[in-house]
Amino acid sequence: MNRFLFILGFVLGPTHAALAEEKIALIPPSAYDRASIYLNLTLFWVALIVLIVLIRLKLREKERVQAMGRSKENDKIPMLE
Amino acid sequence: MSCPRLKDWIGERFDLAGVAAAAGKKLVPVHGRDIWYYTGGIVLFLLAIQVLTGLVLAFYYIPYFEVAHKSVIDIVTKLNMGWFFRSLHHWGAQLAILVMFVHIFATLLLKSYRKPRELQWVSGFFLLGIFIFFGLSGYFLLWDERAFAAVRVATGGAGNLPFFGGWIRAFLRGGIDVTGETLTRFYAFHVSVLPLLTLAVLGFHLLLVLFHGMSVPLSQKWRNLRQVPFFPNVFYRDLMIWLVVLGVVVTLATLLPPDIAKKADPLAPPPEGVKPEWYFLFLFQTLKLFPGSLAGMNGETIAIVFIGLAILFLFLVPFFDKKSSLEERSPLFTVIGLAYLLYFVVMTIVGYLT
Repeated sequence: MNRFLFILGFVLGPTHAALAEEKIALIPPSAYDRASIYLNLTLFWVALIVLIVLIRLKLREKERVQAMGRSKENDKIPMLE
Repeated sequence: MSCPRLKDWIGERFDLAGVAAAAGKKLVPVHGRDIWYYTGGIVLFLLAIQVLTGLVLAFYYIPYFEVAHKSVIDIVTKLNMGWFFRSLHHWGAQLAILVMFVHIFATLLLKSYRKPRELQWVSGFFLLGIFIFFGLSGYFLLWDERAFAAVRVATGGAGNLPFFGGWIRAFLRGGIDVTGETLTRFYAFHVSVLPLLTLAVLGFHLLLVLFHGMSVPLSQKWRNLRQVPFFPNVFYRDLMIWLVVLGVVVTLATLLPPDIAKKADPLAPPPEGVKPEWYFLFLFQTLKLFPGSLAGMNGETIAIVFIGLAILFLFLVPFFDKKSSLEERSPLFTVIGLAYLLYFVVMTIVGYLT
């Protein structure tokens, strides 16, 4: 009986393995790659925030010039030494 | 870096200064509801992401039913950053459709469709339809069992339309059932027919926006509104919002890459508990409300006709809402708009949870 079960398992085993659903790695599976991805995501957000702050500063500068009733700052104003 | 010679070279060939001056002269009103103006720009930005990521995916995707599924797995597992571009394309599409719904409902509730902007509403409605078909056709390209079942249900539903239903179903499927022919057809729709249609309709929509300017809600109309130039004020705000949207799309793409189910088998029964994409859930739930047969007629056909009429009414709403076109308040159409919004949200949530 034991021999029969052993042979049965031997025959059916590989079939079961073939039927088992293969899990597709949707992002690189290694821990190093994942850590690198999350680090890059953090850096990406830092860069985005810096860009947003720069655009905001530029916009405020434009609005300040517009509030003075001008469309553009005069770049020929003599600078103080 | 100002590059005056380059500027001169371009300036001699194109009237860039004229374009900049025109953008600066274009004024946008500032009021309490102007946040909704930015939704259109967000859709435009997401569309640009879709074009770029779609181009990258098209280099590697194989639109043949025997290898389509494997080519997607290869893109995800073998190509450098392939998983990221696929995920970005998926989330870009989801957000584009979501923001488009927000844009449409904001336009509906603020009555921005009123005279003389009826054609803006009509073209926007067409764009929503095109985007949804983009979503469905793109989902099918995966050629997995869920996408296969979803397309079988969607095209089957279209087939229940009276008179032209059978023809529409056969045209979409490329035969009597969903097969490899359907994949070829959906690929052609996704990468050539729909982009060309989008270009034409979007161009028309933007031309009308430029021509008519931004609509001011009736509640704000009689106030003395401040106006700011489109460039740089509104454009810079657009840029900031786009950067945030880019961050959201990239984060979703990184943390929640879309799943890939088993390869589709046309002869296998549909998998249990299969649901359509979220933007079809309200239709799916509505279909469930109708019995199999009603007064001797096919219940699904009646449901499709009912849904079709409701969508047609929404499509033609600027022509029904006479009060708004006379610049008068029309509370009835506000209630109708809210009812549509509530129905869409509730049915989508119910469809998602059940």
